[in-house]
Amino acid sequence: MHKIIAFIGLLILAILLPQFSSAYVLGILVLAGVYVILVLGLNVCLGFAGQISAAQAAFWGIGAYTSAIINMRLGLSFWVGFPLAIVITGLVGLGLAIPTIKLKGFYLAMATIGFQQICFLVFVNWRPVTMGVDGIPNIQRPSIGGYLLRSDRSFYYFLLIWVLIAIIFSLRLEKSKLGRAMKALRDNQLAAEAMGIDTNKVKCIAFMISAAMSGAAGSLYAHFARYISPDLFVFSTSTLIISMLIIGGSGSVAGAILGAILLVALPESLRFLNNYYMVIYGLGTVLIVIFMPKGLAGLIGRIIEKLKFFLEHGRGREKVNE
Amino acid sequence: MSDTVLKTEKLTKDFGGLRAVNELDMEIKKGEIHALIGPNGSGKSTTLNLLSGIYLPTEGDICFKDEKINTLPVFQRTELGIGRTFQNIRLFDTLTVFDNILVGRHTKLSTNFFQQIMKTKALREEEEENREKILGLCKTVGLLGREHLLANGLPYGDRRMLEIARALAGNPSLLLLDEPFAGMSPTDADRLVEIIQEIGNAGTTILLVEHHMRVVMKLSHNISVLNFGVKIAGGTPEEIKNNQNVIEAYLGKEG
Amino acid sequence: MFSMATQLFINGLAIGAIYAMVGLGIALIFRAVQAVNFAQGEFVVFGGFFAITFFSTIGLPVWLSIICGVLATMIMGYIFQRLVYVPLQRSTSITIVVATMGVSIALTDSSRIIWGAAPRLFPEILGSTVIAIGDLYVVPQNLVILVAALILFITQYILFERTFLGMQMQAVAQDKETAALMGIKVNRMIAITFLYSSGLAAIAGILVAPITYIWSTMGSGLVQKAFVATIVGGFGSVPGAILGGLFVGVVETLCGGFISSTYQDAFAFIILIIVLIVRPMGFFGEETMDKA
Repeated sequence: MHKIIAFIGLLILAILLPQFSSAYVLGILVLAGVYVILVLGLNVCLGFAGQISAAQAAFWGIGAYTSAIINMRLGLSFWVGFPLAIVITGLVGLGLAIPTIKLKGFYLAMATIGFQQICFLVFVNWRPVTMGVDGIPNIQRPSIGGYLLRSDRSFYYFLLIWVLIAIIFSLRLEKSKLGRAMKALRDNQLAAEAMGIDTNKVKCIAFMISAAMSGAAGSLYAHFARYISPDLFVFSTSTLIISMLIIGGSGSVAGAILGAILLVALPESLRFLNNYYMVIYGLGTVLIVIFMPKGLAGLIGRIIEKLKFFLEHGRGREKVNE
Repeated sequence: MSDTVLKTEKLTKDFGGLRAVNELDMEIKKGEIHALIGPNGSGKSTTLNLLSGIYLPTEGDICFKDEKINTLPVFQRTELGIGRTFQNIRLFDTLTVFDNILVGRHTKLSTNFFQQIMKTKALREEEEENREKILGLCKTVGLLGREHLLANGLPYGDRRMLEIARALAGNPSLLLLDEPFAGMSPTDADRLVEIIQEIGNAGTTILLVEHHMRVVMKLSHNISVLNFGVKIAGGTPEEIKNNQNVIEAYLGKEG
Repeated sequence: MFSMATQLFINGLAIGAIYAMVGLGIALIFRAVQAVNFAQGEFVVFGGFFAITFFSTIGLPVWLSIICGVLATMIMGYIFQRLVYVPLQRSTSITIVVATMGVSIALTDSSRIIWGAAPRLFPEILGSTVIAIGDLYVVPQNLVILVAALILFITQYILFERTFLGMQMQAVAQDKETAALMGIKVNRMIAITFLYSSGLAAIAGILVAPITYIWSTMGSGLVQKAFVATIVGGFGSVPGAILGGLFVGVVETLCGGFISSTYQDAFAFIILIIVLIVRPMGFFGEETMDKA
């Protein structure tokens, strides 16, 4: 299957690339990995379940701050902060989902925007806990059984494991009963209810998983960068994550990965674009929505289908002529 | 445990000032194919929506297998064994035929989330079992061999069939069909009549809301007739055919 | 204490009038095409920037710069409608949200590329000396905003309720098919709605520019407040957008003054979340039902 080949190829690339990369490129690879997890998280909520969330950056921040505070201000290790970040952020996601359960489409988007903005203001203004605009410095790198992940390269491989876990989780979720229930909810909520699906519960779970994954990404980011401040966790980051998913292909795990990697790598690799990349993302989102609703992953999928068809039938014609 | 699968008592639904369903008494016994007919706007679809839980009754009771279900949410009624199709076809367009029916099987899937994620043996066994059942349903409605196609691209008649297969996947004891013959070609309609008879013979109780009289007369054991939300007649097809009130409701009073 | 409250109240009314104008544009577009416009804030920004360009760079007198700024923004609104809304006519709510978010991102950065990242200023119409009325100090521009808003809303009321054009626009908003059957040129009415909404946004930008300056990223914050205003007032309702805007402006300013100025921006969103949970249809909105 072409998907498995592509995946293994990408994996080999992901393992080998850091060996030849400068520190600068390595930083970008780590950032790409973090965004892959973020976009995979949004894919559960928006891609699978069809629930729009413009609060992904806020959840990212909650995870980051939770982990950072536990490590830097309480002195506990990453291995306490990381799971707690996931659980707490997940619970906050659930806390947002429950009161907004009846909201759809635009109204839900607005509720998540409201939540995002309030979170940002809390990050900035709750100085005793978050240290406000100064941010939280001196967050420690994780250590595994005594071995401290001091170098960026070692952290990268550590992150890669979590990225793979997120990918496998997303794929398994997609094929599971819950994943199908989410897609049913997305496609036709009323019919989903009639099939015995508790759509309210599925919505809440989708939000919770999405938030938890963002929380994980937050903790990982905080322990890599060793410093966090509020200006990362803003509304425009949330819309950036949405753009990544849409351009990559909403609803598709491959699309989420593609979108994240592409939109992180693009401004860095095409220098002349550097000043214009936001315009390109914005326009890209609009164009994809209008012309390619399945995103780039959908486009690539269609091209591969056409190639397969051509190869099979091309060969058939040869046989007839013999 | 009585013979009655569904019973409504003085079932009433108001929308603001409009009384769409007015003190409806209806009783359906196990294995029966019961038709609900009436001119446009008589309250048939509203009744179906009340039974499946999309609307809540203003007054009156709905009893499913001797249990009052008036305020039960939609998904819980499905868990109890009520399945339905929709007048405006509601398929999961981005899913395949197979997956659409598999969603219909939602209430019968017993593996938990952990088993699903970790792909345990129990899951694989359940998936095999489901696969057989779903392919069987595909065969019944004539979709065998096309289960990998997206629901989106299917022709109209097949979309209706898919909805029925999906509703059957949950092994409902009561199947609510909302105008399944609407827009059907004669060939498809004949096939659907056979399918409904097959389902009925297998022991499923069916409530059919329909306009096509020929089909109603052919299929149903009993008929309830609504007009302006009120039940004006009930009985066998023969009785209904000759009922003066029914004729007047459809054709208007003479002179 | 009382005078501080009154002071804040007047300031709140002024910013509320701005929210109301932006919200009005959003509400009108929604009524016309049943879709939201997340890029409305960028039209405010472009309106302000256009006027500033006509005034500072081209050297037109203030009044002409304002008119040209509004017209330029209207043209932009027309192009926007043709390129984005027409292809997405039959799309879902989420699709439009995402698409207009994309436009918003693109326009925000475009304005930065064109006019730079620094905030730009447009001159005040009545000068900058603060007017003292008893204990109150009124910034003259706030007065201009309030008067302009009043004139605008009254003119709009007359336009919508008393002219044939207004009747046609209302008919299209309520039921396109019937309106078309009655001979109303539906597409033209929709285009006019977009032109008008963009014009409103431009006026809002020009009015607020002397006080807060115009900078490229101010659009998203503004449009979010405007959305809060329309939701609180009742989404899709014209009086709702106006009253919602004034309400949000006043509450936000009063709370900012008396409770906490650092969290001032949060109050609008707290109101939003409360309204969405308790009464999503707002004051003037109607409940909609999902049918089988």
